[in-house]
Amino acid sequence: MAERETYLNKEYGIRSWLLTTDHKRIALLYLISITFFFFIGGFFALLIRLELLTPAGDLVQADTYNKLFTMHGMVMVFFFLIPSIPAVLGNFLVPLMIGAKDLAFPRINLLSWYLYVIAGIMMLHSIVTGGVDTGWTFYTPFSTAFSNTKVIEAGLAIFVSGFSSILTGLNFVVTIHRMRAPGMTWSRLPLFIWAHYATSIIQLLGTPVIAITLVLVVFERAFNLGIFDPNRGGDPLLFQHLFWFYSHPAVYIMILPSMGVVTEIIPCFTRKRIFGYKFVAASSIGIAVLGFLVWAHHMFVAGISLYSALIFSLLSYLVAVPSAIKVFNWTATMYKGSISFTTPMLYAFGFIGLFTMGGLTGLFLAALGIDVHVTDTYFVIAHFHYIMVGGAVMGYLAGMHFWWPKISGRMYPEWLGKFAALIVFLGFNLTFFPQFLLGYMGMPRRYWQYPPEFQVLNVLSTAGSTILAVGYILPMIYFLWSMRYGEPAPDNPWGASGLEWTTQSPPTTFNFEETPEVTWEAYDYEHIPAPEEVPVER
Amino acid sequence: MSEHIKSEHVMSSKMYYGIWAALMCLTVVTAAVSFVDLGPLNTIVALVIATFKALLVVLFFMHVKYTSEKNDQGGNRIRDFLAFYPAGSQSRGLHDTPPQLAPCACGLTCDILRAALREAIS
Amino acid sequence: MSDSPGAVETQKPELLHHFSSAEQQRDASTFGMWLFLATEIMFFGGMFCAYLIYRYWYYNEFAAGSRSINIWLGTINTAVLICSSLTVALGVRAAQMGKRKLLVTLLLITMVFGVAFLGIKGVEWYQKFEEHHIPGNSFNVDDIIHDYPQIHIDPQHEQIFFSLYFAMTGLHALHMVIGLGIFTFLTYKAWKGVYSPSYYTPVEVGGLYWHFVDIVWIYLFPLLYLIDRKPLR
Repeated sequence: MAERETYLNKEYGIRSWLLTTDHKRIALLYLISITFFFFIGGFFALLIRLELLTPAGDLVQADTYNKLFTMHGMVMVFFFLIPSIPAVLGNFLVPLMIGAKDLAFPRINLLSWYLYVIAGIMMLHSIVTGGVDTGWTFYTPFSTAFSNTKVIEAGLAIFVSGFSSILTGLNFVVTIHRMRAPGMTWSRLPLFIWAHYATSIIQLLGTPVIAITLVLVVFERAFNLGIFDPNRGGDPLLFQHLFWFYSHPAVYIMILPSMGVVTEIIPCFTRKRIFGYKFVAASSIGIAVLGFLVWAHHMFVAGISLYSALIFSLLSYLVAVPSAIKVFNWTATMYKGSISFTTPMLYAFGFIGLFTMGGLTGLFLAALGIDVHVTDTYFVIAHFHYIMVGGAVMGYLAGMHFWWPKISGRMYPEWLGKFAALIVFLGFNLTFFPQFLLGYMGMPRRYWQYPPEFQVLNVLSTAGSTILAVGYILPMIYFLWSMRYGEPAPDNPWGASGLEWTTQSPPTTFNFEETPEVTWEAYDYEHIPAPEEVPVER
Repeated sequence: MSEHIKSEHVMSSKMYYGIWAALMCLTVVTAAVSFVDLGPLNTIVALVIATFKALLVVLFFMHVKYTSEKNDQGGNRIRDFLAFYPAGSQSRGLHDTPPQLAPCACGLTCDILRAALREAIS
Repeated sequence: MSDSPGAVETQKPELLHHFSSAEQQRDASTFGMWLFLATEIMFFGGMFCAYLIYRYWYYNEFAAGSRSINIWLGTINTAVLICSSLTVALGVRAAQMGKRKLLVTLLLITMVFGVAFLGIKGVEWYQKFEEHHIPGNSFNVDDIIHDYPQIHIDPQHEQIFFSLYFAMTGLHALHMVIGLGIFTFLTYKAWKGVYSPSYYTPVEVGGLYWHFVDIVWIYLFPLLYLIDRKPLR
């Protein structure tokens, strides 16, 4: 029997992959690259946790420890989290979801990936030739005048990766505006698209600012200028303002796509349309806009004026509102729904719970009084890991499981998926919940040794991190396994709404044989039959 | 089905030369005015002229004034949004009823900004 | 140009497969370039922001530094760029009207203006080099301090001015160089006859980029060269 043609088997050979302009192949190229960097960042995390098993600094030297948390942060933020969902799931799904044959600029899409790879190579080179020890935040004047590490190279690597991010965002915005199929109006778009649209706006407007900031840091360091050096009339706070003006919206780049994923999964496994479509769409835009107005909440104790701090505190409270709106809408969607606890749904549940905890602790941090007490402690670390790992990474895993049948044409083993989800959830909480307590009790962040009374919680955290690592390795193994041995996937194994599920699994290179014409609203679950075959429990 | 070539608005070269002349004059003015002592106004004048020059380039050289309406959905939305200003931009006499003002500070700011923008682009 | 249906694909190789019409392709391309220009505004904006803050804090040093850069060269350069914008706009118009030779000529003239701009900038920078005003180990502003005995000039603040001057004009010059690269490509393609009234999008899009670089200079000129040119009392 002739094998039917898919985007995977249309052409073989390394050139057909490295020179592809097919958004689906580019998504897989990204999948491989970001997984690689996830391992690198995870490796540094493991070393950090190993050092923190004991109160004394006995595994590595202090300077080395500084490099560990710096590299962990830089790699995870710029080379994993920022690209993750947009570059993998977004690239794959945006054209499919809107009924297009490809993104607006396929060659720029490929360029985007090459820029990422070049940046990644530069980053790796800076790591193996000595690393960076400034913290991922590059604070001046340490980074510009005192650090003896590869600041320039790492800064340039992140600069290049920023352009990759900008081009992806540009591609998405133009595609969503101009390439929607007939009948696919803005109010019929899947909310995954709205989330990526908002993310792309942030990528476009925010990333250039960190680009110029890093350029200035590189110039200062290379030419011995004094722009950020207080001894020479420069202002370190100027650096912090410029840095955080991007890096705060950047966290919304990291979380919005995950929210988009969750918004696709919940209606599917509740068999109900999303509650409050317009509010969820508007909240994505709201997060993007408000997210640009709160950056100085990272600088409450840096020396900004009290009045400035009050305003940023107020705005930071406001930015939580659209996120909360999403949580309420997800919950309301589930009310009286018919819920199935598939692997994607388990991750989505995990997302809602953990993101809510992370978000609430963010509000604690937005309160000036509390922030003064817990800033630069493990409380902050726990807060952002709840959002980034408990939120963004779980959303990423949810999406990978949900769309894996479409991407690969295979089903992953459902029982293993559920098992891994459970391990991830348990491992995550064991790793990071103790860190809230540690931070509140006063353990500072970025310190390689600590008072002995903190050891028990640190040991729990390290134990959790090993469990979490297992939880992450499992999907990598069974996804790979499924590509050869998994059940062939039907076009729509979940009975989900969305144009991507009307194509074959995996899709052909040009997605649709005929341009679809959309006459139905999004999340039309009243008219979509439940899947003929719910993934069988093995 | 043949491809119909949309006839783009081809600008007259005279118009381009006119804009060019305006830009050159404004450049000379900017430089010349800087030698005159206007106190704090020097900076403002320089930036206002620069902004005006930039607008000329954007509107005429970059064809924004002539962008096809049908395709410029974003521009259309902005125009419609701005058009929704309660009393329009007709000049009012002293005894005309004042326009409906928004009941809150944010709405008020919004109304004022919209009016200003609307006048700028009409 | 034949309108027969079967000939559409072969007649219009520039219509990429994922677009449903030439119009959609053109709209997408110009929209994409406008978005890119928005990112460029944010990119330059960061430096403008740093500049504004330090100008407010160290007005005296900024004014003194501004006076030491050559206003005539700066004004001439502004005029050069405006002329180049004119030729670009006329070039797009030539493409719209299918006038290949005129298009190539105008693109070449634009590039000549661009090179002239860079040449004049090089002269300016060389003047600064000779005066030891380039930040670094041989930075020395004793001459500026000497020119303004009545105000206190801190050489470190002066260095911040010159750092930003070189960073901003340097970044702008880099964009000019990239623009010249783009226009070399456009000129070559235009000479080969690739552009026509039904397909001149790359010229239009390249033109948008060039105009943007011009606009950045329109702002750089008063901000850097005209901080304070009032006659000294």
